[in-house]
Amino acid sequence: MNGLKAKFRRKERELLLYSTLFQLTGIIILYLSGELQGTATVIWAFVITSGAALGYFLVSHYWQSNGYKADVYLLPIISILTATGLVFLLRLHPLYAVKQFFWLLVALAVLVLITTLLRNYYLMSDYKYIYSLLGIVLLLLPIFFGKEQGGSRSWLDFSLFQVQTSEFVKILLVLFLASYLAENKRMLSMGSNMLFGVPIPGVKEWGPMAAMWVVALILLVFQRDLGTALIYFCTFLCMLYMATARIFYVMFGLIIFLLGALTSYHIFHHVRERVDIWLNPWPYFETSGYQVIQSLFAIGSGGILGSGLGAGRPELIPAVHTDFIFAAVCEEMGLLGGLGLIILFILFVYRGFKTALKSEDDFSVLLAAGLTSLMGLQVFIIISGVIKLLPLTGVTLPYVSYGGSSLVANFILLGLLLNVSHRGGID
Amino acid sequence: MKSNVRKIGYFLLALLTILLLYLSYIKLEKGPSLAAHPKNQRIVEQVNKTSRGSIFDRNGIVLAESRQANGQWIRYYPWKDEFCHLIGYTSKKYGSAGLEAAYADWLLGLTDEGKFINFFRKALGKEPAGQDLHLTLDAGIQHLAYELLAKTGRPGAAVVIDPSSGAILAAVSQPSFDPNNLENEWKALINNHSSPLLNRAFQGAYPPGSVMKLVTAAGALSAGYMGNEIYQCPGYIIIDGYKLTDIKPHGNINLTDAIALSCNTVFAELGLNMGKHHFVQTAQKFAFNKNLGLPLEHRPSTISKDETISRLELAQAAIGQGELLVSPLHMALVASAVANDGVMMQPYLVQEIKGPGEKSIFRHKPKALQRAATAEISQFIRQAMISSVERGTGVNARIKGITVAGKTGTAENEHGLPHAWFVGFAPAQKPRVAVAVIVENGGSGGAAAAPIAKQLILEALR
Repeated sequence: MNGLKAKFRRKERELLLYSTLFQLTGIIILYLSGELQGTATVIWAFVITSGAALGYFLVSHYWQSNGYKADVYLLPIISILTATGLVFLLRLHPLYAVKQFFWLLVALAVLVLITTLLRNYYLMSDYKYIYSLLGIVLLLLPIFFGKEQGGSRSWLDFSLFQVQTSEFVKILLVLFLASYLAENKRMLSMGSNMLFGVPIPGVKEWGPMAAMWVVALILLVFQRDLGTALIYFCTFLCMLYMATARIFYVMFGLIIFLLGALTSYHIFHHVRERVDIWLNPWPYFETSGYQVIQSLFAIGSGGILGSGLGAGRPELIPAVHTDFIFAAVCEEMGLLGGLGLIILFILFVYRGFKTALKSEDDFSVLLAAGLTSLMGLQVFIIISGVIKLLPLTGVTLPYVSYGGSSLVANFILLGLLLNVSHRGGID
Repeated sequence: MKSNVRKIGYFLLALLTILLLYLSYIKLEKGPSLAAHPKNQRIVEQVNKTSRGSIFDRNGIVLAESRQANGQWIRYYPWKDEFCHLIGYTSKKYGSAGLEAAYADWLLGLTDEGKFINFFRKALGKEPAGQDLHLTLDAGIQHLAYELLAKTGRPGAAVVIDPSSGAILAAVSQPSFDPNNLENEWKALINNHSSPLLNRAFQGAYPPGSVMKLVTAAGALSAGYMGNEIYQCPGYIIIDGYKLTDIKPHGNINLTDAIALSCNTVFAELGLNMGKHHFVQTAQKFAFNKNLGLPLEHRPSTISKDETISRLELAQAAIGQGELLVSPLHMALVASAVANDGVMMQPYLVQEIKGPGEKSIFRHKPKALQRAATAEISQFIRQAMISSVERGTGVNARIKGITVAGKTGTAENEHGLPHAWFVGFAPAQKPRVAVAVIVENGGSGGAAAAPIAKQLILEALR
């Protein structure tokens, strides 16, 4: 039995070896092309690479030692994503790379905690009202005590570091919805009244929907965080549909979403601006369209194979280390690098839904599918903004972009997903 | 519930797949134009850093080069205004034109090959460099053509081509401008009524006059005429009540003499007899209404395809007046086609592109544009053109010891004296050079254009 377990997690470490090699190659290229300026940076580059690798391997060993049976593919996928992020941060802004490295260590520690303490995560379905309360408090805090950054007011300042609370609230949101929907799905699935043969739910049923809409609106109006509002609302619709299979909710949700979108387009200057830039950024080249045009320039200049690490000019894009890191990857690693990154997220979403489908109880299914949907939606929303498929809404690219809150929150998400897959058993 | 979960799973995977497709679209479809966008800082930096490639004539004489001054690259054109319409210019303020624009990617090392070379140069610590253009032009012929045209004091153009390959040996347009001084003179240049920025050799639109008779003759011969028929020329022809006058009554005359003496009556009649359809078809075989495949801007010669034109208009077109406009380049190609046994070669200017260290990256391979006429018909017209120079309207192009074939044109127009045309080639039986010369409002082709053509032929065969 012990031998089988050892074999099982060995796969994970084999794959982690590839991501270590990947990161090592990256920094060697940076070193040879003279992009790592100063001895300190070179030393940090090797410390970061070996430190990250060591961290991942220790986590994998730890899991093996206490019989953790979760999916073996998720951690290697994430490790390539964080490796890409660290290599590009070293190239763009070495100080941020060092900070991000420490956040990664924190995130790995949090991952160990979650996969140890919350292995019986299904007990968590009992505390749904705590999640909602905590979530709302966390959302409101920055509005009163927060600090504005990059046009949105979603940061809490702790002088040593800042926390973007909405990154953590998104997990509370999924936890709340998973427990609420698992409990009430039967009631929600059956309409009480009929209108033209279509079952129409009563007030009790669309109440949560309205509440959710209000939460999204708070984000939009007070924090001016368009992207996060969009992610919350879409995740909500996905989970509602999965729990109830009622297209009515989706239609109704989309209609109030469109109403909200239209209204905010007319009321809020910053929303209108985003849409106008999306339709045609060129008239705003000198002003608000600058960022997305620079992003397109970077992507276009990269070609199929890319300019090579350190050989492009992605630093011309404002905020390239956070929201626009995907454009930097597209410039220096080319079309193939960009496609590779998206494919990694596709694999993540695939493993996530596989986990959901293998789970037995409703809460587990909804939790795994909800967390995975959240991840997929966030990736879709930020990348489509960067490549101008949709209007830009600044959110981070999970695991890759610079940002401690985002990294730690996404590792919590990973931990919860792994816990569900642990319960579901070995593939 | 699991089936709903599966549906949402597929939905999300589909969303992410859309990203794969759209990213590929952006990269592959829009990428090149975004990469080369003038506002793309990468291009601006590359251009400022790169020593733009030089441009040479066929013998390695410098026509354009980059020199460093005050830490900046300055473009220098040693021949001043003699090559301006072909080489063009490059200016931060007014953009670029000519070969400087058409081959900017090569000159700046922005093609795939150029990027590859510059990648290695960077690794070796060298500055990025562009590629050099080696042209087909001959600075000696170009210089002579420039001087001869300047001496007329009138706008005009001259084109010299190697008929067997299509290589352009010289192409001059008057008036001209000095690209070294472009930014200072820009306002004066664009306000000048004689349009010095216009490349008349490639973009001019002139009535061809009697030069068109070469095409009309090819049309008649391919329509079944044997060439030995005898026509009557009373000095005029009446078509639908209009009298089209000739230079003089030519009496009994055959096709060869009609070409040599440029008899309007005969060609008006031939045009009417072969009909609009066959006439236009022949003209299209001679590359009317056709892009000549040159990377520089040029105006395809135009002929109306309207089937309803009157008999008078058809007769006028047959002698090169009315609804048709041609460029000097195209007329040089018409002469080249006759010289090259009926095959018209695609004209070209860039013989070779070389990277730093004289490494050849691109070399032009001559290719036929299309067949204009059969070898037999070309031979017949060649003989008539020889007669024209020996004893006809083109005697001023006669050269001792070299058989020259030619055709004059005297094109009526609304702006005063007729435009003087001459097209020809030499040596007639084994042609190495074909020319077209036009002097705007220069009067008779035989008097104003033929002597210039003669000098150019002499220089080219020297």
